[in-house]
Amino acid sequence: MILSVSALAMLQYLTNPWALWFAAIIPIIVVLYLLKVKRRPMVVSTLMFWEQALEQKQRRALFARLRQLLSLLFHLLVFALVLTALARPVWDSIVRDGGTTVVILDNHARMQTWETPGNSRFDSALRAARAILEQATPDQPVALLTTSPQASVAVPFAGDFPAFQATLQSTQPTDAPGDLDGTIRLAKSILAGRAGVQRVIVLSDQSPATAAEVNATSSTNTSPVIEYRTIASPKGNVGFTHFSARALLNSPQTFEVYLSVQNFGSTSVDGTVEISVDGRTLDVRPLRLAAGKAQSESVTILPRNSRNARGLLTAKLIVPPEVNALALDDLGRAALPLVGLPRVLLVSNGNFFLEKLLQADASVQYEIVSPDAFSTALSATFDVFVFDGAIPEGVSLETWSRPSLFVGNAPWKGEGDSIEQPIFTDVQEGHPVLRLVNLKNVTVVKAKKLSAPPVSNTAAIRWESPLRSFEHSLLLTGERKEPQHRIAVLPFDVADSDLPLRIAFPILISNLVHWLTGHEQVIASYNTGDPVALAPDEVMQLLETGTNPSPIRAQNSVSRAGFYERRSPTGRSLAAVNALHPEEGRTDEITVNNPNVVPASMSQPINPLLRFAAGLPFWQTCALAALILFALEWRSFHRRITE
Amino acid sequence: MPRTDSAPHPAGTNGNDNTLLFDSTFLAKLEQLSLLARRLFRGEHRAERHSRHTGSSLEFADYRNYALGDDPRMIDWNIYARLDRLFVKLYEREQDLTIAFLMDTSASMHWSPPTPALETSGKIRPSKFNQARRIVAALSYIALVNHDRVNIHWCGDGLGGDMGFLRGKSQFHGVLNFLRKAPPVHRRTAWMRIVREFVQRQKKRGLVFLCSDMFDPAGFEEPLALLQRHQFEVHLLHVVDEAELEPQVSGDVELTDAETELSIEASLSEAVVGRYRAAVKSWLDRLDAVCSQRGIGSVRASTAVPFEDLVLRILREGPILK
Repeated sequence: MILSVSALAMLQYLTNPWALWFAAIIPIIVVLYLLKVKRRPMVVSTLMFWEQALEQKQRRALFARLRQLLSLLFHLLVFALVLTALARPVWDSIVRDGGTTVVILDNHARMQTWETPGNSRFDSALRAARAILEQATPDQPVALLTTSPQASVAVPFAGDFPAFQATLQSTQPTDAPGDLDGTIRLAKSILAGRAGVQRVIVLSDQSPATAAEVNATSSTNTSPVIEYRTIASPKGNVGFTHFSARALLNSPQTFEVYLSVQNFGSTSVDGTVEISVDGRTLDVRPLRLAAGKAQSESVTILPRNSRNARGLLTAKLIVPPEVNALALDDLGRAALPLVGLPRVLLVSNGNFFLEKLLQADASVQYEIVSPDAFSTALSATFDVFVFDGAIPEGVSLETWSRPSLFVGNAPWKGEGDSIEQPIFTDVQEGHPVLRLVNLKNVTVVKAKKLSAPPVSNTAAIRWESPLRSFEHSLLLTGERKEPQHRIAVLPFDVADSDLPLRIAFPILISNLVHWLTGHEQVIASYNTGDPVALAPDEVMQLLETGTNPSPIRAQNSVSRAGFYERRSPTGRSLAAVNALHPEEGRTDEITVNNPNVVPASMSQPINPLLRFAAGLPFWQTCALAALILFALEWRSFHRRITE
Repeated sequence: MPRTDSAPHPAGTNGNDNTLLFDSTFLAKLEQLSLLARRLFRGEHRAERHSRHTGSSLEFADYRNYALGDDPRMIDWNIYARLDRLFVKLYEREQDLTIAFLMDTSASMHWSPPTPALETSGKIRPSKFNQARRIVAALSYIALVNHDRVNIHWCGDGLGGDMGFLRGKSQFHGVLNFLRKAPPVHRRTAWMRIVREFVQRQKKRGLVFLCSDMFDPAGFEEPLALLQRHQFEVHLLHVVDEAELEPQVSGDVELTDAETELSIEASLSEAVVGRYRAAVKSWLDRLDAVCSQRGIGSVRASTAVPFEDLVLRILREGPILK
């Protein structure tokens, strides 16, 4: 009676108890055992000596019987293991007793840390998640949540492991920080409407510092049980914490690189930083960092500007791997805007200030021509045209579509009146042409009133007036997207103001020239996890080969570090995304004093075979054991040595 | 399946058996030999073998005093001249010798290894029975040439039929005919029973040759001792096969005894085969020791040794032929 009760109790561990019907096959095994093939017969002249060699006859017979019995026991054991595998037992109490489980698979950047060669923290977490998800049944559903780049439900509640397989295979740790707290909140919210026992299993390298924190998260009876399984051990790491590049104002083709490296480990580290552009090494800097120390450095580089140059700047940190468990933050990236010096043609009868200014500006190539000698055939030779005063024949808003700055006059018929001593009442400091331009105390004697350009000619041009004197524009900029065309009008003669005597003058003219070229010296750089401000028709696509993630669109955050191509209807540009988060680099900060925390070193079997077996679900382990026993039985009882 | 008396005759026992063919050169060599007997036995007929009885041969034996009725031709007159007393010269009487061959016809004697080995001449190595038959035929020829009385007994689980005593070289064909008509294979050998029946049937003492592999679970000491107690001079022709001494087998096999037909399953590893060799060597050593202690002439006749080499060299080196 007790036995039958125990047998019934055992049935609740089986997810497929109908498999036990296969036990009816046992008599067939016994019959096959009885009918098994005999050994190779051999007649000998006498058994006297063989009996002596095989020891006592009775003992041998007893042994033979025992041996054969052992063979039968092997058969039955193999069959029992197969039956157990088919019955698919589960041992997890919550899954067995019924309830709902949410598994949080932390996939933030630090989970890429290597625990042992070939085994990252994420690999361990993935195995642990797999072991839990394989126990899901329709009565005990499980959901899978991920933490990075933001809390999300990877697989909603499901009771069948195949529903998780594709996600488990595709889920990878991101290069961005994660939101573990937000994911736990999300887990609680999706568990809120469910009945029965609820449990949240957190598989992460982060853990609450004390058990009190664990209890705090589940202080009420209605809250789910939160079980932290920390799969990590403290590791050393050295990585970039900051990396940026900018062009020098006085030499736009020269860039200044700022980088900051920190040693998160407990031992001093010697290494190098290798700076290269488009794969060509430009500089190698030695590095020596004491434990826990950081080092910042500024490096000036002059990348070669060629036809095929893309301006992909990388700084690679090279340190011994034993002190650097996380490779993600060993690379800093920046996309340099490699453009040639814009060629500027000044069409003027003589303007001392403009001539000297353009001559002194190292960021442009300058030439001057009189309005009489100007020809529209020069339009292909220069990038920017500055028309000082007189407007040559053939240059009008309708016919001229080259980047041009009109000083003192507009290429369309205006009101003709002047404004006496206008003052700067509205200054759009955020406009590119007014960047760093300080117009305080600048006096303009007179300026022309700018009338609005004819609508029929400017339908596709978006006009702005970043500098105004009340209702009058003192600087008018127009931009057309397709085809790209930019135009600027400064409605006063620079000689009619003290602007040329101000520091704002060269900055304003330089800003205007570079804005007209359309090549702003802006280095697009992001950090993983940052939202990307993209226009609705813009996308960013990762450049690196071998990966083809979904393009990033507006309001999406970047979760993968690398060089991206930014595509829009008007053109393409490059952007760099780095994974430089000091908190993600702290691979040494593991709290293991929590009773629920299992350090990775303890949870990982050392032997590869054991590690492999431990990674299998129980029914597969049974099947594997049955296969091994079958091979052993064959080796021991059926293998024949032929002469 | 147990063998019965109606079991088929062993191979090579029909009328066309050529294993018992001897060429004339070999027979001429055999005629130079004679069987050795350590003891003198009373014979029935005059022959060429010395006896303990005085007779009329040319071999001087002794003197004795003259008695009435003695043949006056036997008086040694030279002695009478010197001693003035009558002495009669005695001469040895040469008699024949009774020789019996006990041929083992058990299943073990007919056993051959699963893969027959070849002799140096390229022929398939004979079975122990055929090897024993040829040796008995050769020894019988030697005995017949020396006018000894020869008989051959088939032996199995008891004493079987015999040839009857033959004497004289001209009877050799009778020996061959008898050997060619070997009886059915006996299941097993029971030497004690054979010897008991033999000593009851054989009243004439003489030489007894046991031609066997001696694979008798009951042992070999008692039968040999019984023969000696009945005043027989015993010689052992121990026939062995090389495959019994050095088995070339391994793996999982079911071993069946050729005589008892009992089977055992065994996994023959190197260690097991090594223990087998040790057991065989121990048994052979014990057999040799018993023969040595009892003064039994013993010769090991391996089937791997060519027959002529065996008869002309090994048997002569042993205590059987001179």
